[in-house]
Amino acid sequence: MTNNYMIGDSDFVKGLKSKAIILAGIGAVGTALAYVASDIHHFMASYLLAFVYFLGISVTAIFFSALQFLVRAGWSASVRRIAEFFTGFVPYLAIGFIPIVIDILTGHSTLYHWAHHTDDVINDPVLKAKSAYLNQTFFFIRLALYYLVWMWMRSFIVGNSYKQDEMGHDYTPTKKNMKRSAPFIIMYALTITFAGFDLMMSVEPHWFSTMFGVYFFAGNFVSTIAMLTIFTAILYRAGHLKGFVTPEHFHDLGKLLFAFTVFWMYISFSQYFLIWYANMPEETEYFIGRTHTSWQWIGWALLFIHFILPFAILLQQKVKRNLSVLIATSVIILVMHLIDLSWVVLPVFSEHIFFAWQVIPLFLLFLGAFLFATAQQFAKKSMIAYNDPYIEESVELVS
Amino acid sequence: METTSTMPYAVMGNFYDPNKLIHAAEHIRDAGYEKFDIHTPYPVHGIDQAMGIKRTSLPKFSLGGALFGLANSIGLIWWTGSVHYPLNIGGKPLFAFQFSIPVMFELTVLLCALTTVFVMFGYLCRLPKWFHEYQHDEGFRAAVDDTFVVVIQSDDSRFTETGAKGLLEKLGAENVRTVAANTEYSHV
Repeated sequence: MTNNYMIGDSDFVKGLKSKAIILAGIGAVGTALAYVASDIHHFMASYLLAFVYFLGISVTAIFFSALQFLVRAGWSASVRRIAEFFTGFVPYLAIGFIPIVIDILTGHSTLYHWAHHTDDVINDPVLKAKSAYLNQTFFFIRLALYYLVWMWMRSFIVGNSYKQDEMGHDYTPTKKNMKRSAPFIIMYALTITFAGFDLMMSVEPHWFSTMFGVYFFAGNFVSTIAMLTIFTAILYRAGHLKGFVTPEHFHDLGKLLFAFTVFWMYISFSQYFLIWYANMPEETEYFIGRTHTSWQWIGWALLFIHFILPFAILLQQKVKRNLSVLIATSVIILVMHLIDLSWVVLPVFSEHIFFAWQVIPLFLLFLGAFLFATAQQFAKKSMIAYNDPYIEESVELVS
Repeated sequence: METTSTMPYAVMGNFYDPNKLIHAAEHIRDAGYEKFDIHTPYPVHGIDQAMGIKRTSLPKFSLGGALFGLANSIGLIWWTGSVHYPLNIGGKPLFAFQFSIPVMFELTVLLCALTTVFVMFGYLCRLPKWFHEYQHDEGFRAAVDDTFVVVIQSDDSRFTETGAKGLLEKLGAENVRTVAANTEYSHV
């Protein structure tokens, strides 16, 4: 098979790149204004949200690829590469960590109360007991460790997937991936869990939930599927995936979207339910601040728009093959994921509901950077894993 | 079960080539026949579409069962907990959605699954059925071995015996024959 799937010169990739630059440009100007003009607390909180949002999607895309290798998935061979392109953002995460690290190093972190060097923190018995884990040095070591693990996983899994393109019928790279994906998935589970604990849960350092890691994962996974669905649908409509992607693939993506919307609700409700039932003060403080204040409206919005609405839409079989509805549902899920993350972080700064407008320029900045990193991969590699041993099975998929 | 009156007799033809069979199914469908069936020894890909079989109505029953289960669970918890026998348990409210959701989920899933299974087997597949009306036909029995059997029933609005026979012969069927429905065993 010859390689006709390098679409680096196509209108799609050029458009993606220029749109990414425009988005990032608008975002950068807005971010600069927001930094100068507004409260640093809200600015840093918005930074964390926008950064963690794309961190989650790009890292979970590695997991998505590894998962397909682990289970020898046939259906996904023709869409897997697009998810692998999302991991192009992973190397840039190191830059994204810098403002968070600087914020902590100042000694009066706007995000993480536990990182303060003040008397109220030093004399706080809870934070004192947690200081073996929640201290600046160990926090930085962990961030570096996550980054190195993700970079390693990405270069191995995605690297071997790219290498397969040039190998013809020698399937050594794919076989290597199949073998290595099992330990990698365990490493992904650990890193995403602890990254969730460190970056998100520790903004409320007194509180803890052992379910937080899987809650963080559920949101990330459903968003990654939504992002993949949007990209695949747009490419399909532009005619780039002809002969490889059929409505059957959208049906399967729709099923995954449906399943993991339910999974997200299942996990987030389970976390809430257990804390509500046990009613122990050290756990309930988190939900009191989020369901017994005006923040409850965000909670209701999550229930109705992040779960019930996509659930009702995707319940029908026909809809999963309708690209317009599928794209719209994916956009709803992606927007609600940002609101879901906001619901974790923003109530720390005010017990009254507020709109952190700074999140808009910061989100645009990171969206631009993410799309640019993805477009870079599109320009470099084939968007179809055309030498994958399962590609023919995928083309003939009947779901 | 009294099914004999709806199946007086039928015209049957045998096929041995799956491609010919699909071609024939498309033609019978396009000729406007609705009451015709195809018996095959194994699942043939694309035959549903070729026959023009509409999507099953099963999901509607499933949804109905699910909503019925959901309503029941809310009613059950609310009525037992706060109307019929109110008990203060650990200071929790007599009724709250928080603790009802596991029960709501379980009953929704349970009644959805039971409705799906029983509607599918009992109503849509018309089970239990011990004997098929045309099972006495030698050619029909070959449908469990190496033959595809196309059956056009005489209760179809477009049915004429010569018309159906002519169509099947034109489409390349072998051993085109008229078979009377056996009513003897259908009461078993």
